[in-house]
Amino acid sequence: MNPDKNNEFDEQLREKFEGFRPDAPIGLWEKIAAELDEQHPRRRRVPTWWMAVAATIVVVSGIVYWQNRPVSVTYLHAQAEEPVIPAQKATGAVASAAPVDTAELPAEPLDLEKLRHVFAKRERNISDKKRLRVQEPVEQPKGAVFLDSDASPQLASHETEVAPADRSLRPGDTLKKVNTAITAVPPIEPPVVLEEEETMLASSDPAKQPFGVSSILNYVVGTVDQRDEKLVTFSNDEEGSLKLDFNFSLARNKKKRIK
Amino acid sequence: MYEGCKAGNRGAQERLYRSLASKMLGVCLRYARSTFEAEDMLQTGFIKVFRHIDSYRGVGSFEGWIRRIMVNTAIEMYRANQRGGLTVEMNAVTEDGQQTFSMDELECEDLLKLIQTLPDGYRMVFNMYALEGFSHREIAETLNISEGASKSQLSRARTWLKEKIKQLEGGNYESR
Repeated sequence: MNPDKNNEFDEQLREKFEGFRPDAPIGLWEKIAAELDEQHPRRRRVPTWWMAVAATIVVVSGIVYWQNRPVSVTYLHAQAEEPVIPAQKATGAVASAAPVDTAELPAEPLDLEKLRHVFAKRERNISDKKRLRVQEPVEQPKGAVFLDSDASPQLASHETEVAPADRSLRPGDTLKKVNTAITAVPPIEPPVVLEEEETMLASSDPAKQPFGVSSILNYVVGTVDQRDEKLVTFSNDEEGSLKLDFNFSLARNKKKRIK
Repeated sequence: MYEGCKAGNRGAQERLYRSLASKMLGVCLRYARSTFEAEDMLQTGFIKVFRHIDSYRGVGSFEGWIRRIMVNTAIEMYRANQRGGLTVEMNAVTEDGQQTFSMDELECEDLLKLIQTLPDGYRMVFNMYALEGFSHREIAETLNISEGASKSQLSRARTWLKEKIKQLEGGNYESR
């Protein structure tokens, strides 16, 4: 193919079309003018839409990061130390509760004396085992150890009788009273339990935080999206976890308007 | 007129449109597959001109800048059409001896019809190279094809058009 000839052909066509003036379509200017008029409202709307979406993405990702931040490691350490403190408190509580225990005991010796007679034969055989059992839960009934070491006959017998009552002691009235004696012992624990409940209540206070977070998020969205009905709203469910609500009807209306 | 358009004066914009609409429609018609598509192209092009008039920095003629926007609009529309469309291949046409054309006898409308019947890719390459003066490298980058493809498509389009023009001229001659 000859390049010169090709250039000549191209040149001929170019000249031909240079003077080409077809009639412009009637009414096209009106269409252009109308579209130019729409330009301003369109520009205003689009940025707010994307700013709202971008703001929610940033906020949501921030919350996700905040909830998954590596604080759990320090939290585990704190848990490991906790049991030491209650143990000390428990001994203190037991020490304070011990006098109460001894104060109640004088009412019981009448029954315990009877029981001693009934189990006089077994007493020696079992006593060794009982001591072992009593000493097993060292931390809990410190008062019991104290009583045992004291070696007063009444209290010692009470101590031995407590366990056998479950096993073989079933002669009616006496058993019930022993059981009431057993139930009377646990009041040592409540102070510890109550403390735990208090800490639980104290720790449940921070659970209110999500309410604060959701209201902050709503405020942030509100600054961007200044309509009465927001596109995105935040709230908390019963468990305190964050909820995202999209107003889809608003989004649809918006699309229609843009078109 | 340019200053008025830059200030957003609707009267100035209309005057600019009236003075150039016909000429720019002639450009659009060469790139479009139909008159309807060309008018759509013209409308989109003029809206771009008025919206981005600030980006004209006075380099080259204002008309040349507007013409370039029309061509860019045509390229964008071609790309949009390409997404779901098939690329049509033209069969190679062998050239015979005749290399010169009078074209005086031919109306632009007739030539336009021929150009519009070219497959989209070939029409783009032919318009951009032969009538707009783009290089093959520019065409290849703009249309996302190889330079070789640009050259071969130009060659085939040109040969095909020559053949068709020859037929038209022969027909005109015979009808006299």
